[in-house]
Amino acid sequence: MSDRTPWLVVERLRKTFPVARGMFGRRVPLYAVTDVSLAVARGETLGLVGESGSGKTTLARCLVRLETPDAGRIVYDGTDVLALGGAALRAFRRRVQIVFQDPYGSLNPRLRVGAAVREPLEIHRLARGQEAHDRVAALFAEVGLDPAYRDRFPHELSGGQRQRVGIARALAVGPECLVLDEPVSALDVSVQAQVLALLRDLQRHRGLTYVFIAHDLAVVRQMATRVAVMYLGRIVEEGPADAVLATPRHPYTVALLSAVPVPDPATQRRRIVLPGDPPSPLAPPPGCPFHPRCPHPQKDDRCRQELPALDEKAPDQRARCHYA
Amino acid sequence: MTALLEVRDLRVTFRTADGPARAVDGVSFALAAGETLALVGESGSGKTVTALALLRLLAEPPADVDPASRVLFEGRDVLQLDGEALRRVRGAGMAMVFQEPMTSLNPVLSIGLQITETVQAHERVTRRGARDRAADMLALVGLPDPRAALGRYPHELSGGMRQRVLLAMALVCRPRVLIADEPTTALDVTVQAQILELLAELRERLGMAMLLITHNLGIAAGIADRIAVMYGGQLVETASRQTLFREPRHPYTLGLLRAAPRLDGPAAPTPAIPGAVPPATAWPTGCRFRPRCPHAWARCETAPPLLEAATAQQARCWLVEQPGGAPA
Ligand SMILES: Nc1ncnc2c1ncn2[C@@H]1O[C@H](COP(=O)(O)OP(=O)(O)O)[C@@H](O)[C@H]1O
Ligand SMILES: Nc1ncnc2c1ncn2[C@@H]1O[C@H](COP(=O)(O)OP(=O)(O)O)[C@@H](O)[C@H]1O
Ligand code: SF4
Ligand SMILES: [Mg+2]
Ligand SMILES: [Mg+2]
Repeated sequence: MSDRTPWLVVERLRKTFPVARGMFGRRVPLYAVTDVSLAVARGETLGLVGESGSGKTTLARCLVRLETPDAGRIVYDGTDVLALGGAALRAFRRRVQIVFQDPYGSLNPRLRVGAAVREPLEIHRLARGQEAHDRVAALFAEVGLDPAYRDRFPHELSGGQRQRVGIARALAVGPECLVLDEPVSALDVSVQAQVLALLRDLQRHRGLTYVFIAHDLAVVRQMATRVAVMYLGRIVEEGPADAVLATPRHPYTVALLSAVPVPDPATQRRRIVLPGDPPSPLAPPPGCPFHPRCPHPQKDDRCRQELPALDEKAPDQRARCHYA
Repeated sequence: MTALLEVRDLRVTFRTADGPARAVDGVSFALAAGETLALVGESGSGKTVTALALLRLLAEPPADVDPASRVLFEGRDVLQLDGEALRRVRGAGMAMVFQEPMTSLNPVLSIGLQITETVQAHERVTRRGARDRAADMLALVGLPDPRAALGRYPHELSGGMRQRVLLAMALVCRPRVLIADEPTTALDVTVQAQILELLAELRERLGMAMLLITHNLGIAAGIADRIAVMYGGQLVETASRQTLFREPRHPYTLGLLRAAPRLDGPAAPTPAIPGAVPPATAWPTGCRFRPRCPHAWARCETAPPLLEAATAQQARCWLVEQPGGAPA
């Protein structure tokens, strides 16, 4: 991307959750997001990848102020998002919207989907009466939903159609930026491609900025201009999508990419099989968070003791590894 | 090559409020000893119901298995067995692992108890013998410290470890066929890689045949000998894995291959298949893929049978007989 003037900036963001542990319900911090810094340029797509529990959703919820971070800063178009309140916060919510994995969870099962798309218009007092009706019709057309579906309930729609409703609802308030939390993960591949095409069209026509979360790296490859890889609450690699996906530097990114099955018997690659599971965010390992599973031949005591910095390893590509 | 398992014209219908759901509608295939067949298709195509029917795990009603259907395991029709004979088939004959390891384990029983109960349900062994077998199995599936693991409960294990426990439970009676229904779908990709590696290794070591159900063509490409593609309750294409990926003959197979995002090749957007899988209560008439098919023409209003497309390749599409499709 030529113009990388940061539009959405995250600085050293941290979010812990106090969780009860053991007898007497002693509360200990769960490190969901630790020291995350990011910059997203206007109109670009940042792909956020990582396995479940790595902190993607928590970060997404912080970005749209559904969750309050413990520390750090979020700056959107020059405004300090965490300082906003009242009318300014409401205005911010119109500019940045979130779309969830399965709108089943976020759509009211007893509300017809036309009404669900209309609701944000009314909450934000953007339209009512006939005007609201027409705006909903336009939104349905924009996301490729048959207007006849307005009167249906969420369970009467297919997964792909429900996701279109979720997108229409987010678009209703005219946002500039969408935080998409696994928007296609619950969909079958043929339908997934439909929703990805829709998201690309919307981005082009509306000039949207995306934070696109997915655990499927092949999906991210199609969508993202930049990619950030999370592991145990931290960003372990970040850079231009083609660079990170073609020449990953962090051993975790390398292993993750090698583990994605390739739909072609002729090009089966050697899988790097990491041992064990990601460690618990209640007790992150000292040193490099990846060291217990890391297959890097140079791994040593330094990895076990000293947290690597997120350093530039190639032009514009950073990785949190002592030996990458 | 004689078949170890032969499924002939399997039909399963559910009674639903919207009328009969023809979830599995005339499925036939054979599995040879030691062979791996992948059953691939999108959700709702009938893969799980097929697997459950093979082991007689469907509740009837609401399921209704057509009396003319045959599931021949070593020549005997599983659909006609009951009592002791059925139990024997389910243990040392065919065993199954499911997608969600949490829901298929009993949360209040220790891992050890669950595996020993499985052994004792199928074989005459002492408790002690069963416990030894359980520990051996846990070691085989790669659980660290298997003896200690016997005393642990499902919630104390990660998703990947639970899937290993389920595998141990399925394999403890040394079945000749393992049916694995989306065994890695609920897992993260690095853990999925561990389980796929383990499945391939176990298959070699135990010499068992495998029916692997997956929606992921990449997984099928990595592990299967043959692939059967399912759509609308029917098989629409069967071929060796090399042929299926190199020369798919059914437009649905081709559509799936093209739609799958991939890490090799260009990063360009992949084309979708329009529409969605219809509900099993409302399969389209004629070819069931017709409303979504880019080639559909008048002839497709008649349902095509599985046609021989090449040696050991069949496709349920009129294009096999009429490669040009619609006459100009
Ligand atoms: N409200 C919460 N209370 C306690 N722990 C939470 C909460 N939300 C998330 N977590 C924990 O934070 C970690 C990160 O979770 P999440 O952000 O959902 O990850 P991801 O979206 O990458 O799967 C996980 O360990 C999760 O269990
Ligand atoms: N118990 C049931 N009652 C009614 N319909 C069912 C039942 N189980 C499965 N079906 C229907 O059968 C069809 C095939 O389902 P399934 O075998 O689970 O598909 P797959 O495993 O390929 O996703 C679906 O349309 C599903 O809704
Ligand atoms: S810092 Fe060490 S342990 Fe961490 S990823 Fe790099 S080599 Fe592996
Ligand atoms: Mg999440
Ligand atoms: Mg299924």
